[in-house]
Amino acid sequence: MTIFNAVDKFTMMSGDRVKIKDLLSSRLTECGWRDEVRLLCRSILQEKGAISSFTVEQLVTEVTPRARSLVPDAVKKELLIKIRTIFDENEADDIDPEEA
Amino acid sequence: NRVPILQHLCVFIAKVAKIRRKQRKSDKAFVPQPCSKRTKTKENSVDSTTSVISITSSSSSTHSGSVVVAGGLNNTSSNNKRFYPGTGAGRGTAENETAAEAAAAADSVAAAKTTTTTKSSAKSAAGRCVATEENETVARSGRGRGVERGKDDKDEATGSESDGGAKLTKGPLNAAYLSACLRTVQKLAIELDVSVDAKSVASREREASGVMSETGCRHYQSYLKEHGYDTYRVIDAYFSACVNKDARLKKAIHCYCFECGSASIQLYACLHCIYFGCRGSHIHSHLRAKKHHVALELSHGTLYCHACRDFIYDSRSREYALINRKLEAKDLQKSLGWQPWIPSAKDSNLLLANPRRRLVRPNQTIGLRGLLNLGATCFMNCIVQALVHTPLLSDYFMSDRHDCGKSSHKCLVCEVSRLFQEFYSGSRSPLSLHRLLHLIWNHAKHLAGYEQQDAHEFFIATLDVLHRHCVKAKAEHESKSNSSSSGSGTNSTSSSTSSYGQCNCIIDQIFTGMLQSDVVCQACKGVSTTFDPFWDISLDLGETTTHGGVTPKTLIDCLERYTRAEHLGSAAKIKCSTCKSYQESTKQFSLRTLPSVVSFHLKRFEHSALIDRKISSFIQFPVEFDMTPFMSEKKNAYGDFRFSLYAVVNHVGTIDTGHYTAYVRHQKDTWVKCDDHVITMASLKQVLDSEGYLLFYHKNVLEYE
Repeated sequence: MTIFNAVDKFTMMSGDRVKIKDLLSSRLTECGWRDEVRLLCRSILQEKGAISSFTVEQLVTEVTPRARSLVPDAVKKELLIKIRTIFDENEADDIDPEEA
Repeated sequence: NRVPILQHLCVFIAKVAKIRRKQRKSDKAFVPQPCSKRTKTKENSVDSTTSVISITSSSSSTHSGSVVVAGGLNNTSSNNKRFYPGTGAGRGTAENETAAEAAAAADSVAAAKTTTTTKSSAKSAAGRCVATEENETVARSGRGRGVERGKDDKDEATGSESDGGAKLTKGPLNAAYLSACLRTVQKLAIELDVSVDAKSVASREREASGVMSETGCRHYQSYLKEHGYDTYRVIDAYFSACVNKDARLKKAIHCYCFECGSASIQLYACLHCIYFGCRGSHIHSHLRAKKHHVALELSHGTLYCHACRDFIYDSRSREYALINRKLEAKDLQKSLGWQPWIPSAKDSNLLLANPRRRLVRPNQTIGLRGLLNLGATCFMNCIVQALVHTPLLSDYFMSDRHDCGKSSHKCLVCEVSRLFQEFYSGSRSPLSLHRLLHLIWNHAKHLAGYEQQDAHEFFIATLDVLHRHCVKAKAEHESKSNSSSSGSGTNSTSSSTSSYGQCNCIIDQIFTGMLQSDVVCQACKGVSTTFDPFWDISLDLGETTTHGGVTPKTLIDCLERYTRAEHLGSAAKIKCSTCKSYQESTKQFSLRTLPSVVSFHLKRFEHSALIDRKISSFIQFPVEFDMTPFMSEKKNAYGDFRFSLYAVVNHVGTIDTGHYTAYVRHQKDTWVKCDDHVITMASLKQVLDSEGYLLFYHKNVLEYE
């Protein structure tokens, strides 16, 4: 159990996780990451598509590290800030009813 | 500020880890006892079922009777504390399971409720959890019980975790529970169908039977023959889309790899039995060992066939998935996530029938046409240029979505549709808008005649006429389709006019926003709020009377002034609905919802009793800006209100006589100046240095539904 998992579970329960995921996917589309990865897949397939045994898994293992490195730092940073504000806000919400 | 969060996260981590440890211990210590077998599963599913069920068996056997304590979050009365009698090891495992999950729920509550006052029993409950870590202390959320009894969740935001706790009494993750879940999902889906989208489901079903129908692979087909869609539907609804709070909680607790225990990003759920496994070897070894074929990838909800070693697509499953996604979106009050575009039968037939494609390159002029001046009709030309270059509007018209039964020469929408075809035909000669002008004259009498007109007035009148025609065309179309096929169109009338009296015609979808005005009574501070739809925002440019005679210099200044609280003064007393008397009050505008296209009208023409004049002062406006500060709800963490400029209408001349031109964004970073039939390239600097009369901004990120 890491802090990563705890954040994961907590956001999962509050429903924020899906919203963060939506945000991430729209950011990745916006910055062109989705298209880049699509092209990457396409070029790999053109290269190796002739091999009949080439499976989705092989494609995924080949694409994943490169796709991961293509994610812009700005997107990562924004998501990090967003997750932080979610926790900050939860904290603020908790204080309000008790002290008011 | 960060410390309490970390603290509570640590508590949370400790708790979940503890449950995990116990669970693993009990997995080893206990011989699985099948408690409720699924009807169709073979013995292999039993071990996975019981591995979940036996979470607390071991601990409750050693500490029977050490259950308890309740943490009402802000309930201090002891009535809310709920004591559970000790449960022996032999007695129903389901109850133990409930207790353990409640503990997890309470933990999550503790994690959520970060800093509470010492009085709060939640904290004491959490504290006790930490103190008596070796004992099985089960905290039950007091509020959870309240919700369970009262069945109303007034406080969505704070009650979410405990509400989930309340529903846990339904039982552990087994076949019986899943069938209960299935009923919930079906019920929710039926509600959704009636209230939201019966029409689209019907149309999707038609599509599914049409050209693009996909049926997965033969393994999936034989799986379906044996198991049907129910398992898929419920697993998707609970562990992929999470249609309600209960589902989210279930996912958070149960969704981890049965092999390595990690809740990694890409988990697969076996659709033959209850099993979760990480992408790669974990799920594969399970599928291979048990000879199961179909699994569901949970983060995207895609089906995977192990026999084919590939992802598979089945249109009926996809429909269920879409319903689940819609339920999830509704439950969380968010917009639907990205959905792939699936062409309808009509679309694909058209694409097949017209194989020629046109590649749009930079520096191409397609989409640009000059417009002839028919005698002081520049007010119309500039608005038409702005409208034609509205991306959403061109998407609508270019995909030929306007379906109008009657003869096209009477309908303004058909005329605009024809204009779009003309603009994109590739011809470069200027167009004459005489038919459009004639139609406008017929439908907006105040604009008829050969006089110079105000472009803003024309813009609003055009939107109004287009909107009226869209509504009419839709109504006619529906009544026709109702009479021809009475079965399909029964509930379609409700969708044409939704709440707020706002319809969902293309004009309303693109241009209508909602303005919120709050009138605050100065005597009792009571707020009365009203909402009004708007098509554009008119901004004052003259000196402010109240704030020391400041003149706005930028668009942002104007907007700040527009949304500032305004004292209505003693002359304009309003009857307050709370204190039932005439009182002085303040009024403040804010933007409740924003349209996809926001148009700003700078009030350059001032008509007063003394003098009519044009204000030619320079107002700086940005290319891109964020509207968040002017929204009613600023705290919405996910709203994206960034806008980009795409058209500017300018007026040169005096109040009595002048000329309109328009700058429009032709392609990314390419601007053109449209001066009647003359179209010239323009730089962004020219655009931003222009005076500006009407400014058109387009939303950067559009939401689905």
